[in-house]
Amino acid sequence: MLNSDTVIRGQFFSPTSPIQGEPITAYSESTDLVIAGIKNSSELLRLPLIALKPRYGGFNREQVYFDWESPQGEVCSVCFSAKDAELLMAQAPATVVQSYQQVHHEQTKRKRRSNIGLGMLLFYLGLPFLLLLVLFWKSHQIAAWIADYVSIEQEQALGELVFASATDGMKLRQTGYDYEVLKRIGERLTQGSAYQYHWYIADTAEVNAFAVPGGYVVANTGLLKAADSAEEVAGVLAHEVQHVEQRHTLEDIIYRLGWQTSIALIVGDVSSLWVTQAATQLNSLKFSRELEAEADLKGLEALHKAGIAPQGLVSFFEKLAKDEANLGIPAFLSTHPASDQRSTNLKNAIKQQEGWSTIPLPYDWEQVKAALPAK
Amino acid sequence: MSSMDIVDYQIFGQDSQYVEIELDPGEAAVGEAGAMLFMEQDILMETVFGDGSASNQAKGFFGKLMKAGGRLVTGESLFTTVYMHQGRMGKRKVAFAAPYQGQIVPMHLSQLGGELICQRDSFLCAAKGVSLSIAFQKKIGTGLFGGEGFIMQRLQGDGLAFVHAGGTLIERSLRPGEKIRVDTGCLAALMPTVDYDIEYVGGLKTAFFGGEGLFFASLTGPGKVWLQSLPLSRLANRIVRAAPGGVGETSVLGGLGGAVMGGLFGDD
Repeated sequence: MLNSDTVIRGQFFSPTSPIQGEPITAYSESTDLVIAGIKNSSELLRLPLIALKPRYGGFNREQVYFDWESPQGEVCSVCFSAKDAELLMAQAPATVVQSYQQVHHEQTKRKRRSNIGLGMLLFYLGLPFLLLLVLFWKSHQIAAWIADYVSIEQEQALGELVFASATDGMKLRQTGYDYEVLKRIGERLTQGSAYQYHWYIADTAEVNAFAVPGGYVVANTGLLKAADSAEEVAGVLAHEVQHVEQRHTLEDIIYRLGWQTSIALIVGDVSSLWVTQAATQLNSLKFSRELEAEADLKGLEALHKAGIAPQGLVSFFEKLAKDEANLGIPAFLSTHPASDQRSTNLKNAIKQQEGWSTIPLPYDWEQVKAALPAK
Repeated sequence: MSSMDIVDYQIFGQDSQYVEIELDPGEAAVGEAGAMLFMEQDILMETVFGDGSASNQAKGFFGKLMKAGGRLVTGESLFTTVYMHQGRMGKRKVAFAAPYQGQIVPMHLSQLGGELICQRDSFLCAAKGVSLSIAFQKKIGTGLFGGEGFIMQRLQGDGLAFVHAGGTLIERSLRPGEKIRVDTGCLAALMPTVDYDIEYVGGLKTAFFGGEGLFFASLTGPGKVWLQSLPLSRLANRIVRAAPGGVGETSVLGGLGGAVMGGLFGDD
């Protein structure tokens, strides 16, 4: 009689059964395994469990085979899924299923080892991509974290190098009335800074200003000419100074070097002279939009602290936005956030700052402009 | 009993074979993209995403995508082409050719328990309704050193499928517990009841100078296995070695490295 609650399906293999086996049902009864449903046989096949040789088999070892030899010396086998075998064996007394328990235990151990191995293999294969992902996701944070370990002295030494290469071929000067004004505005903005600032004027018509790590700030005469008041120049300077104060350039250099190193490591092409490439790219001194936005806001704070009216920064951006529309995008703005957006953000930030007491900058801007070289 | 199309076929050729499939009106066969040799009038060729089996249509778009992705991993293309006899009457033929020297083996899946696992890239054509999927090798040792890689191809259904492998194909029926040891890479197909493992050749001398590599594939019954006498990779290796300026697999280390990489990406 079949035990109704534990009907378990399996495959039966004997020399007379088809190659894929024949479907049977099985249950365990005291110390025997009982197999029902064998073709050409109306009788139940009753096998003593202790005589069966269990093993895991099949393509992925997901079945349990119980092999035995028939009285005629033929090898027969019955196979169950691992789960069903466990159910069957759970019902039999422990003493007769010892060999199954052992095989089961070994298989579990093997599977665990295999899983660990497979995991390690996948991890190893995926490691470069994982690194790349982390890098992509946390690149700026990593760069900032590394930048924290660079001392100001080291940064200044680096700044000297970068300054030399960035200003190669530029006409720089530290003389003239316009320079004096620039320097005084700059000093007011950088009071109490850990950096030693150097101010320069470059005789170029391009509307641009830039800062190099360690406190080198260069303003073009084109910028001074385009400005309508000292406050506008102060706004731009406040922005550029924040690139130094917030160590944006340093972070950017580390960021680029880091990317190139990791790409070289992953791609394996170390021969592509990444060091020189990185060095040449330093000249461009471009920042991400996030960094620009940060410099805008921190620059605003610096203006606040120095008591300079912030409207200059906004009006200068608005002027540039107009130029952007008329003349195409000036170099100064090429990687900067759209000027429109920036002035809106700045206006909002100004509104939030309360009690803005300003001391007007005591320079006659027309006089400064007049002092600029003619060309 | 069967939702599959029953097809008549004939295999032609000795070393470079092709199979001709005869379709009744309304019947269809699926072929691996690029395998078609010729087809007669009234046969309409339609490219479908996935393998064109019923199980494929049941699932949603995502399921389809996953299955098609599986095909890509096993070395097949994302699309299969269905060849359907659209005419009113008469039998029409479509033929599929093997891509390299070897043999085409008809597999009656219904007589094989409805499922067969074969090496990557070995599927040629089948009656419409046979589904193709990945059989992932979970045993890391077998995956690395078994010669077939971690990914094999699973054919399911109860129709007829044609599988192609290199050289001469040997069909062996293994009794329960009967074991044969096979040179790695020579396994072409096996029934899922067969235990597929690796076995160390034994002894350093044999391992390094026996010429069979470090491991055998060991196959334990019950079930049928199909062995190929000349895996394409071996033929390719010999050709490269024979080519002027070619560098074959010569060093012991090269062999080992090749086994690892071959294991990962399936060199056959």
